[in-house]
Amino acid sequence: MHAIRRTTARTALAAAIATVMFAAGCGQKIDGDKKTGQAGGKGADIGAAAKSEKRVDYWSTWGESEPQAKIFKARATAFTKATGIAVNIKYLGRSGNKVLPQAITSGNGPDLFDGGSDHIAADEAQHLTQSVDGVLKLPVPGENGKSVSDVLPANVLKSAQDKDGRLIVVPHTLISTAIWYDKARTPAIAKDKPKTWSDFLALLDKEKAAGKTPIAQDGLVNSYNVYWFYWLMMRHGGPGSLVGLSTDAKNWDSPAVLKAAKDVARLAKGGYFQSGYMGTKYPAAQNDWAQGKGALNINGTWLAAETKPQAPADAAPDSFPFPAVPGGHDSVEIGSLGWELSAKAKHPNAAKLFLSYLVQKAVSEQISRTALNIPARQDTPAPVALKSAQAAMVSAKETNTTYDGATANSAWWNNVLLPLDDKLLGGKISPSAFVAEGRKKTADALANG
Amino acid sequence: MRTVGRYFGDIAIPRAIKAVLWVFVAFNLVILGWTLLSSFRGSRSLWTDPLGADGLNVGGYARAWHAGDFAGMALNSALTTAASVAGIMALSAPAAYALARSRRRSAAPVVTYFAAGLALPVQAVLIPYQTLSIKLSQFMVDWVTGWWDARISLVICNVALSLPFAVFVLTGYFRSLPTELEEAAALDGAGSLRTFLQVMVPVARPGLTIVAVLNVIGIWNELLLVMVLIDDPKKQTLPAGLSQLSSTMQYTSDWGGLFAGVVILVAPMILLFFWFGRKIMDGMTLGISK
Amino acid sequence: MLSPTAERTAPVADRAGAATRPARRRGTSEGPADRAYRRFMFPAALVYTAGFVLPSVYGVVLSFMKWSGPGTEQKWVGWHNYVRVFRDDTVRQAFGNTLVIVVVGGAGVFALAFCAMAVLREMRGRAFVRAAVYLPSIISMIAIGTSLGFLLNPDGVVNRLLRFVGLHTLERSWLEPQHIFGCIVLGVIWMTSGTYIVLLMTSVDGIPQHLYEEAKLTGLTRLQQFRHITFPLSRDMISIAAVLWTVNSLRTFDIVIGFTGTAGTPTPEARTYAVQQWMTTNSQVGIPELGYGSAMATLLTVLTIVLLVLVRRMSRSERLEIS
Repeated sequence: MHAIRRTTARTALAAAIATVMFAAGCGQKIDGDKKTGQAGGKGADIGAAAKSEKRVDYWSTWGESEPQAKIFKARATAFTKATGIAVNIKYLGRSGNKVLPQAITSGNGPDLFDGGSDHIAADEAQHLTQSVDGVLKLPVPGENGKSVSDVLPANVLKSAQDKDGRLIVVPHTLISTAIWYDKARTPAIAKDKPKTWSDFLALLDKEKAAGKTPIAQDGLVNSYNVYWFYWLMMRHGGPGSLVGLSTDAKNWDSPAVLKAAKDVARLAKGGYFQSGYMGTKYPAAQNDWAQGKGALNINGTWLAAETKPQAPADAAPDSFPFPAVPGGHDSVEIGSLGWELSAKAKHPNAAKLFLSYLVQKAVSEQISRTALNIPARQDTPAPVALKSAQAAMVSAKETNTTYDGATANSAWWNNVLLPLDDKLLGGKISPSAFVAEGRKKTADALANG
Repeated sequence: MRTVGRYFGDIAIPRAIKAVLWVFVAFNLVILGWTLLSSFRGSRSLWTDPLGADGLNVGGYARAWHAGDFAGMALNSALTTAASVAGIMALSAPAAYALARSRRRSAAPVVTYFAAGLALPVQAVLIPYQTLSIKLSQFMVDWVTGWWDARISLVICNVALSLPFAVFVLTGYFRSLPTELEEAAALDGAGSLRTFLQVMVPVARPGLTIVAVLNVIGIWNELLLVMVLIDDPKKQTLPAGLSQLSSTMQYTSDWGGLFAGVVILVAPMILLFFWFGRKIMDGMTLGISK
Repeated sequence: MLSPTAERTAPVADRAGAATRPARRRGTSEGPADRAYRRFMFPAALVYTAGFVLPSVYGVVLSFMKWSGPGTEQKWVGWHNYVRVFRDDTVRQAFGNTLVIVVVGGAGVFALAFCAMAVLREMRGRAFVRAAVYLPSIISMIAIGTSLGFLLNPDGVVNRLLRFVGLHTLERSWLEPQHIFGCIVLGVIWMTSGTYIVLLMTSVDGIPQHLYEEAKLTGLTRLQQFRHITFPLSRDMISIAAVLWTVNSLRTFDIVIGFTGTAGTPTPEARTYAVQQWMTTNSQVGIPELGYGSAMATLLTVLTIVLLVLVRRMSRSERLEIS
């Protein structure tokens, strides 16, 4: 019913003002906005333009009952109260990514939609987004003239930019990868978190000698398996070294690749995973980890929230960053979840104004407290289990995006890297064979593109 | 030698085969029973001891029903399935009747034309559907009705995809029916439509029922089209709900709830299956064995 | 995830030949079906054409384009996408897997179905058995996929049972790349054989009882009865079932997803052609390749038609040999 009424309303609106005037008006507003952006942006300008647009359409891929959805909805209500601009939220569910491109390009899409740093390349290639640089200079309402760029750390903004340095995502949540353990089950790790790769191997050997499973791995999820190789590439080769493997076959000859492959192979040979790990169907291993059947699990920063129902009541999940290698890079992964502005937004100014409200502290505090995730703002502390991860992100000298952005070439990612990596982690091929095959298959894939 | 051959041919091998079939049957029933039991269990105990049993816990159903918004989705499923099957029957039955009984020259190639659709994989139309459904809804909103509901697109696609099977099978079925009744009706001066509705449909009811039931099962379980065509979870059907649930409940590890969702999805089909069981079996050979 | 293989395409393109023969009828005057011919036939033909045939044709057109979906440029690339399909190692592996399912899975399904044909006719509880073997066919694949991890994980029910009965040596990590495809083939047999058992049994039901009684009198064993009566008299249905199997097994999709889960992408060892096609157009990461995916779908249609013709030839020549 609701949806039908809304579409009727939209049609009526379109019919009433489907005139040249409307189009001209829109064009003017967009131009005006660009000017304010270049001129350094006066809040008042965009405010007036936003009010005349009257509404914002926001399509969310969060489930309506998920904490994130509730947090943003509450903010939308507050925004409407403060400005008189209506916010229409439509919940698409997780599969919503399928319909967004069509809706946006046909002009029936929203102004804002949920996105994230790992979608930037694809969304730009499909012309779904436009830059939200204009938001940076806007004041965050009720926060003493602080602008959006003041409250979001530089590293975080970098993760939300495209390759030309334009801001595409206004982030609310940071995600990263870490190695997880449970303070309650394995207190010894808490006292002496492994800093280097050799510390880490020593820890694994110690756990194994004690008759425990050092690492629980959901081997059927190839994108979790590749965490090991990806991280070792970041350590040995640094940011850009993994995505480089997809763009030029010659990059496989870099010594870092063989080093990373050898380290992965050592994990496989060492017998550190649970038996039959390559045939473990998600989420068996992470649930086993939560119940203390494996000491460690490499996973995203969402792991603690995800496994909470399976964990014992006294569980105290904690994590440490991927260990360092001698002479290597200390890059920190920063991925972000946030909002993107549609390339064909009908209410761009209202949407940008709304974004400035979404950056408010009330949102980031709830992201930390109820969604149990790392908030994008540096002045809001993350949940206990993620505090160290947050600190590392904010202070990092060197950063990389999720999977080093190597997922952009999905055919290469799914058909070349992930299958080869499964073989390597499964102990089926030697590191040198891994490199040789990787070089050959990448060359084939690029020639056949 | 002979008695040995007789022993194997008459007793040993048939018995072994029967044993294999019973194992097969038992396996299916155990899986069904286990799924049902699991739906009444708590998540953590289910995970640690999948074979155990612990009390009757209907919380999973409540969670699945609310978290997955199963009530609304069950309604969507019922609506789209009913509308699709109604559409399929309304279009295919008269067409099959005309094709089966007409002596026009074009009848034969038209039947072949429909039958060719059986060789077309759904994959071949998914990408076009993704684009065309948006264009359709835009067109309807802009030029015709002023509104549109993606569930209507889903029904249209379901109907179009099911027509080859329905028309093809029913053509064979109508052909197998006696022609006398119809000729008598024609002599009475009844019009074509009346002859069809009042004479042919009652006679053909068993065949029509079976085609309808087979389509109900297929469309009830249909997921791919729903995901491609319907963007609003409130308008999606139960399989989409379950797939959504299986991602969120897997992320929240609510296994009891997930199994409850499975049961909610499967139960109507099992009931229908036992209700029409015999007919479904016969229906599979409709128009083929004739 | 449910499949594009959907069972909706149950029976059979095969009968086209038989069905197209116009019914011979008495009398020469126009019947009601003739008078209403257009009115009755046209709406269905229209919906089918507009809703299924034309979109398929559009898909063929797209297969000659490079296209990443709405908003991106459609570029005409000629046969390029098809050339790519043939050069792609992963596609070749997926295609090989699909053929294994068609052949090995088919052997398993038909072996089971023949077994059923030999004994199910006079077995106690036959109606119940028929219903129970058909059960997996009506349960959606997402439902089945959910339970699979519990069964086949290294510490799952299957391994626990093996340990319990003392068969430690048979314990496997069933879903590992080197075993998973075998499990999938078994899964396909489990899920689909019920349909074919039921299908073939209806033909067996049609065989006159007295033939069996006479056979018994002449001293034929049950196995010989199957060989000399049941099998030859069900030949038509068997060839129809073979066609059906070809069409549906070529599209095997959802069972793979059920086995591997949706959190990652299936390992190449487990992929079928339909899965590989789905991955090119619905990858969760990166940019979809809709032109390439369309080319793969078009080739699937062509392949289906070619195999159908082959299967028809084979069943026909067999019949000739015997008669």
